[in-house]
Amino acid sequence: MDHIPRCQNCDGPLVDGRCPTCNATALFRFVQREVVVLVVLCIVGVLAFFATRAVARLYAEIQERDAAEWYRVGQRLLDAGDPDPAADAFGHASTMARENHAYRLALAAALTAAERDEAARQVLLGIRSVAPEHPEVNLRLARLEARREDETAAVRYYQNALYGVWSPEDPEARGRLRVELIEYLLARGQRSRALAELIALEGNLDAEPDAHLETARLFGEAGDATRALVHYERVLALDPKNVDAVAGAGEAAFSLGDYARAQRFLRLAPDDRPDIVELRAVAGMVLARDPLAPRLAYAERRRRMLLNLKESFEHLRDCPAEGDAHPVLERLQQEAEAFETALRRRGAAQPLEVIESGVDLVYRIQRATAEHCGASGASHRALLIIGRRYQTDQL
Amino acid sequence: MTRFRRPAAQQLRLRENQLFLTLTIVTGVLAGLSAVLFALGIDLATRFFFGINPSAVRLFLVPSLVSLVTGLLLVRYFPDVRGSGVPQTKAAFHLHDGVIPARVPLGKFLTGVLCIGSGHSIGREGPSVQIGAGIASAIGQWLRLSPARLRDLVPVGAAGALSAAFNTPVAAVLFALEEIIGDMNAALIGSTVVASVASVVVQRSILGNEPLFRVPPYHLEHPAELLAYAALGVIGGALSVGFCKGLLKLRAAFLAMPRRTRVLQPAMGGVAIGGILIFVPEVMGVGYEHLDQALHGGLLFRTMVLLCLVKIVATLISYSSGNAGGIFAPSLFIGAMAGGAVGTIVQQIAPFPTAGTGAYALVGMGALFAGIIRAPMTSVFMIFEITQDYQVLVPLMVANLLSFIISRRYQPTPVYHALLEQDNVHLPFPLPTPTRGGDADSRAAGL
Repeated sequence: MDHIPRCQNCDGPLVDGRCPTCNATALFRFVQREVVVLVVLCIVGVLAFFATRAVARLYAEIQERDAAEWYRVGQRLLDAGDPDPAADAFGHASTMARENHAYRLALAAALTAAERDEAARQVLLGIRSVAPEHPEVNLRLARLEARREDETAAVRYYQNALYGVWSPEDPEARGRLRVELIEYLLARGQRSRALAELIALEGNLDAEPDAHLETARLFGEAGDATRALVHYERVLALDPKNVDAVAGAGEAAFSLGDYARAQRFLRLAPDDRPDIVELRAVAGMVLARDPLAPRLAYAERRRRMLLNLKESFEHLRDCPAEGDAHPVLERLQQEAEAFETALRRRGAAQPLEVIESGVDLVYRIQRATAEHCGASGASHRALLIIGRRYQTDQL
Repeated sequence: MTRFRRPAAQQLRLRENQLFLTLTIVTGVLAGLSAVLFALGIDLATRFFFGINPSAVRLFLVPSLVSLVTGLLLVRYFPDVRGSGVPQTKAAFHLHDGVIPARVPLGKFLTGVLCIGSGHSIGREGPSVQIGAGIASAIGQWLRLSPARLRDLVPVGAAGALSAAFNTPVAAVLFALEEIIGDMNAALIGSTVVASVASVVVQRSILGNEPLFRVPPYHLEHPAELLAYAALGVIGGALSVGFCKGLLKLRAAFLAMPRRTRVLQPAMGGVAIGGILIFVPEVMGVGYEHLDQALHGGLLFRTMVLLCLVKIVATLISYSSGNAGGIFAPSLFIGAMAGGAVGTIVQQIAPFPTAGTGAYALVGMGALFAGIIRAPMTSVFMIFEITQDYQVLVPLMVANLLSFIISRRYQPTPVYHALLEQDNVHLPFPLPTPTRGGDADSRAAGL
């Protein structure tokens, strides 16, 4: 009888010293166990994922509440004038709610109030790196750069803010910002750039007297009296009794050399502004004393010339000649006396050239007294304007 | 005709290799979830213990009293979870064939939440590494993997956990290779990458794709600024050496105390920390909020100097007294404060244009990390992934290199190795000899 080796476990025949049945069973059990373990791990993983997500959401809600509380604390401190602790509070809030730009903006505001401009700037740059079109962020950066006197950066941020995405709840915000930019440019002497922004501003103006009044004022500061006058007249069309507009229109017309129109406006302006009172007097004198004005009779030209000479003599008398000024003023005095004598001798019919030379003489007297004695006043100013008009014409 | 059949053991080995890929994914997912849950647990614990605006009494009492509980847990039930967790993970990989008892990740999770959540100045990333590695080891033991495969799963779990903890998948892979394994082992690169990716996918699906710190874009304003960053690297190196030596000395002092005091040592640290927190609460826990402020240039010079110095002291106390927590986060915090302070000085005295102090804080983070943890590649990629700012790479590499060189020169034994040696654990590869010649002398000595 052949002896067939048998497996001790299952009594099956051995092959090459191994039990194929037991090996297969072991392998099966191993694989079965492996599958079970992997399935269990996957289930554990899925459950752990949802549990972790739930905990994360819970914590996020707690963070939001805490951030809101820190924000309120910060606001109270800032309102009470404690910017440093307010900045700490806003810092906590913005760390807890990183997506909330309002907290970071508040942090920047507190840092600015605490005169920590560089820190505020970094906070704003951080917001801008994720929200480059945020108008409030760009506006604050512009103001910070303006404080740092970096004009290029300030204007760039102002323009970024202007073309940012503004909330529809505040439709006038962009207009207010443009005004701020214009005022900044005017303060820096950038008149041409300010004018470009003003033209953009006037294209979006509402039919409100205050809007036109402000625009007119800014045009005036930028040196465009024509447009300023247009807007002042629009104000008066909407609000005829607006005293600021009347005064402004008078000033604008005056600077354009339209003294008749200036006087019409200035007569309606109140007397509580000394500059307006003087302008009114000067405009009146220019109109009343110009001997070369059109459509005047000879006698009237002579009368005006003599009055101007009389004023000039008074200015020369009030101007004590000292040092180098003495011969200049002496010469002018003599020339004026000679001219007056000749004018009186000739009578009413004077050639226009004589009047012109008289106007030139008066102009030279006014310039000399202004240069040597600092002469001023409405009559002095009026005589200078009259003389300057015809100096330009002669050129 | 006989049919050839593979032996069962060989079949099993083949199957094990196929299984390993699946395991890396599963391990990565679970390690990532554990890291996320750990971080959330710490934040919730902090919120629970301290509220929104804690009083001085609360700041003192919480770490003191909670440390009494954690001391008991650490000594009686979870003796393997004191400290960072990275040295223990290295020991498990190199000495114990990857075997980590199942109670270790559990204990680390619990004590880590309590220690860090109660205000101790220690980090959560080192514990995350140990938890992830522990989960990986537990899975491998459950599946009865071969010792080689079980061992290989440990750095996979570590990489998965660190990837989620920092949201830095690349740095996590590098850390596992550079620090845990100690070699760019090509065989495990694939596995660690898979686990890291799986982990970070899970983490981002829960927490979003936000970088850990959102910093403004920084630029190298002038080539001469590299000199300033080099100076920062030198200072970082000096601080790293001081930190490591202080840590080892203080820990040795605690270990030299009678064994019966072991259960009270965490509480002794807790009382000291409580006292510090009354005056400087900013050094509590991981401190990422204030680190974020430093990166934005939002802290004053004197504040940064104060926080740098106090954080060093607080971390030495928290770690040395045996609490469960790591030194990653404190390294970054100290580096950011030191960098910010240096940046403030540079801004004042440099005759050339300079970047904001936040840029220097950023580079300082990396310099201290490279000097203390002694993982320069990981440091560079970690800072890059944390901030997603490419512009900072060149200054970062300059500062990292200098800090690393100085740290290695004056503290030849890396801190993790030195901590293990204090526990009488010796890793089986040569350590640099503490001579002036450095590597040349080591080679001459035949090491």
